[in-house]
Amino acid sequence: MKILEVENLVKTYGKGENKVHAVDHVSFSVEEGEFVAIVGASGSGKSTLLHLLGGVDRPTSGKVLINGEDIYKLSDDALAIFRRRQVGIIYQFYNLIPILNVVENITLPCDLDGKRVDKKRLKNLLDTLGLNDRKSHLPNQLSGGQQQRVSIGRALINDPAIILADEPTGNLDSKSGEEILTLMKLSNQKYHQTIIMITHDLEIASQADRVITFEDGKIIKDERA
Amino acid sequence: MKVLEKLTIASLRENKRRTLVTVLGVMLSSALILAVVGMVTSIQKMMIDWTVADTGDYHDMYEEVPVEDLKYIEENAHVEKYYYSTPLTENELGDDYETYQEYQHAAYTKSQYQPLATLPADAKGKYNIYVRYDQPKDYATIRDGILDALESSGAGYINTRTNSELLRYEGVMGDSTLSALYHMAAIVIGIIVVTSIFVIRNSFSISATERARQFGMLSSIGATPRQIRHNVLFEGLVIAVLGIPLGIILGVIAVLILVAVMNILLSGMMVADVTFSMPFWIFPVTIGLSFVTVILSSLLPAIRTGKLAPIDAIRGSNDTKIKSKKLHTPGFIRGIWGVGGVLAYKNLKRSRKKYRTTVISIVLSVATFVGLSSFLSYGMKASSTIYGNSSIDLAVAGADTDFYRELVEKFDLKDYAYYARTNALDIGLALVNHEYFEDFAQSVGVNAKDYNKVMLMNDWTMVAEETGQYRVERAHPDLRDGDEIDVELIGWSSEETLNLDTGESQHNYKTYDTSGNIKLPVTKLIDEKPLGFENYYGTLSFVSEDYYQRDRLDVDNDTFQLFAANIDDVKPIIAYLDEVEASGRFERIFYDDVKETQAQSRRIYLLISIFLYGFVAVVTLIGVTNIFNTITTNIALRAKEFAMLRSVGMTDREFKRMVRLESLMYVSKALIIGLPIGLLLSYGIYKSLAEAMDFGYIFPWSAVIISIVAVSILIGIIMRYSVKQVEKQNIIETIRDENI
Repeated sequence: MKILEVENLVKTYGKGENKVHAVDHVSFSVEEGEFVAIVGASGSGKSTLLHLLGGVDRPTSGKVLINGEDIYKLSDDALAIFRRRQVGIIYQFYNLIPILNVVENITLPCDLDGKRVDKKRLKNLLDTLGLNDRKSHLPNQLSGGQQQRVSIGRALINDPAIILADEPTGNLDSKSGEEILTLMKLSNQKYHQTIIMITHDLEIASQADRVITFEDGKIIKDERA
Repeated sequence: MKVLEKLTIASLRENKRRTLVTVLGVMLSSALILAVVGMVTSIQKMMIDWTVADTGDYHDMYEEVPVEDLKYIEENAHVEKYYYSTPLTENELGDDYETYQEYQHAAYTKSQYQPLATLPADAKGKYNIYVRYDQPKDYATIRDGILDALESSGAGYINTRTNSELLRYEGVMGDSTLSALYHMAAIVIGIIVVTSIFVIRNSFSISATERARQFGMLSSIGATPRQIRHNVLFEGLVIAVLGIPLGIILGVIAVLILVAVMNILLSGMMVADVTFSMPFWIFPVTIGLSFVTVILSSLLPAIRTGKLAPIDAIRGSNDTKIKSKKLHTPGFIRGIWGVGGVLAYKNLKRSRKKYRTTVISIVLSVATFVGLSSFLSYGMKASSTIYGNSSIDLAVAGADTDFYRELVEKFDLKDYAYYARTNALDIGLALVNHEYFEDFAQSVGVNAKDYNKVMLMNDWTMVAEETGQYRVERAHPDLRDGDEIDVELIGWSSEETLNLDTGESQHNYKTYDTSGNIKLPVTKLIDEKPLGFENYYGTLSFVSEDYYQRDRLDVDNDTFQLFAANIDDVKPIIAYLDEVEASGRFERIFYDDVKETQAQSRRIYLLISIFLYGFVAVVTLIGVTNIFNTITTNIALRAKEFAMLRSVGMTDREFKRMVRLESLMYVSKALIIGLPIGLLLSYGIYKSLAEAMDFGYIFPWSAVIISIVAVSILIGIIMRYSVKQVEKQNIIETIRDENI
């Protein structure tokens, strides 16, 4: 089953001579439960693509369908709600709220939704992420790897259709990076979670089911392991 | 509490200083609103008290109600309280037409009836009853109800009198004074609200910008624009809940103080004191207005924040959307101030929008300050034209020279003069008591053996020009010292007397020697003016009271008036003059405690100054809270940039220079706009007052200088403060900090 379909997606910046195609007529699709890595040099447009997939930016033209839903046909409010239920985003710089503790950061999407937190799922997540003894720590009391694990927890809490990770290991030492990657693979296998990850590290990318290579806003290679 | 609200509270807590200053701004704004309304209601209360003291505390008076029917009035549910008086009989009214007329047509004044709180036990016949209603608004309906009841009981038709003056001041009937007062208050409050919205909005803007990353992150994990918007509005709500009650307390205190100050300054000038009065309705009104102010202030930033694309918000890229062309720096800036200057200039250009509010706040304060201080200085000048320059403390007229001599001796007056103007000539001529005249003549350089032959002439006259201005010129340009002046004897003078029997006035003519003109030698043309004539503009000659031609001048001893100066305490003299007036020794004696009158006008001036400068001060203070927030936050937001500059080797000295320059740039920008507007305002005020006054435009130098100095110091202090906060930070940590 196709969980993500991208059709003719375009994002340009600037006008006239200065016009830059960050994403240039890109089409592809992702099956449910796939672990996809997008690789490319910096400036290749891969982050812009990810932001477009997650509905945090607006495309110049083209469509993004998640679970068959054209997300850019939604209103701002509906898109936000869609985002918090269907998409989990993991950033390179974690983007945690400094004044909220680990549990509060993880359950933030539930709180925004006004939903009761699924206690079992939370406990399960905290166990999996190894954060059980860090529950009431604030982000600045955690190491980089731990902070990234919190942001993975936040992305997973609502059981989203798709996880988007933007260089999730980019800011971490190799050991912590390894841990994060293992966790993501685990969630991919354990929860059958669809993951799209951006990286410029080919070794990390090689652990994914499928590697898409991006250059100058275009897909130049798309291969399954 | 929901998580978003928790975040807001936490962020308010984290930015304690800014929160405090914003709360302060809201507090000042609501205090000012309350103070304006409170002053109006207090003045209204004064008018009501005044009326009650004069007429009695009633809305309707029912005339000549039979004792047995009074119960229909007393027992009416809408009657709050009542008292009685015995009706005046025809005999008591007497023949005095005026009293009768007043009785017939005008409202009663308390002096004309004896109020009775209760009826005597053996009350019989008819009484007047004075009634206060619980709902003055419905006075007509209530009255009609009572009259119907009276009529159906058989009391017959009862005349009523409405205390319309009281109803007017209670706001039931239209009153022009009261509505003018309320209109003025509404305009002032409008200005306050608009200014406050403008200024407080900036604080929310800043906070929203600072929290943009947070909002962006929240948005990327699914917070809706609505939630974000509500969050900014919630911040406004918190600020309002903190600021408004404090503002109300402050406002009440301010009104208490103002009322006390007014009563001290105006003591003795008014019938009734100003009473502190704040009816309950003004609290919800103030809270409502302040609330609207805060919500409107946070609305725009809220909408803007909600619209931001999440990824832009996270990157903060919206703040730096600027075309490079706009950042072109004029060569001279680099030439004079170096790289620091270029950075300062570019930064001002970049955050133009953020600083715009600061600049406008300063412009607003400077312009109102310069304009109003001009207004006050004209007021001062105008009132000194009437009283101010006058050096005299006491003026008496209607008595005779013998009495003045008595008075001078009795109270040991040192500086005095008495004058009489003659009506017999076609030029102004005043006779002056000879002691003062000799002194005065000597003081202008005339030393004559016979002072009774000296004539000193003030030959200046004021000529109105087409522009409405006046210019002073000689009345007799050809006249020189020692010349004789031809004076026409008018030949008669008239005196108007009132015939008490017929009520008609008649003119008694006196005739004099009309054998042509006389020649009076002018001893000296002078510029100096004698005591009491300081503000007299016109041709006037002075001679001694025993002038050798006095018999031709038609001057009676009882047309003299006395001016006296340098009196320590005028009160006992006035008390003595009261006695003299009561004794009936003179038919009409006038006296004026000029010292007190002048003091009063100075106190009124002081009072107006307190109100106007107080207003400017509070508006400025609200502006200052905004300026403080803008500058400190802008510097704090640029902490990373500063850290970077210092990390690449900018010294502390260069850094300070750059910040100083930045301050200088927008202080000058604000002044370049604000001062001309203020001067324009001041000139406008001059133009509108010019017709009533006879002096030229005064350039408000002191206000301009005060503005420049005050604004520079203010911005300097705030800049220094914010830079200190930045300097404390560790360079590397600051640079890293932003990445988390």
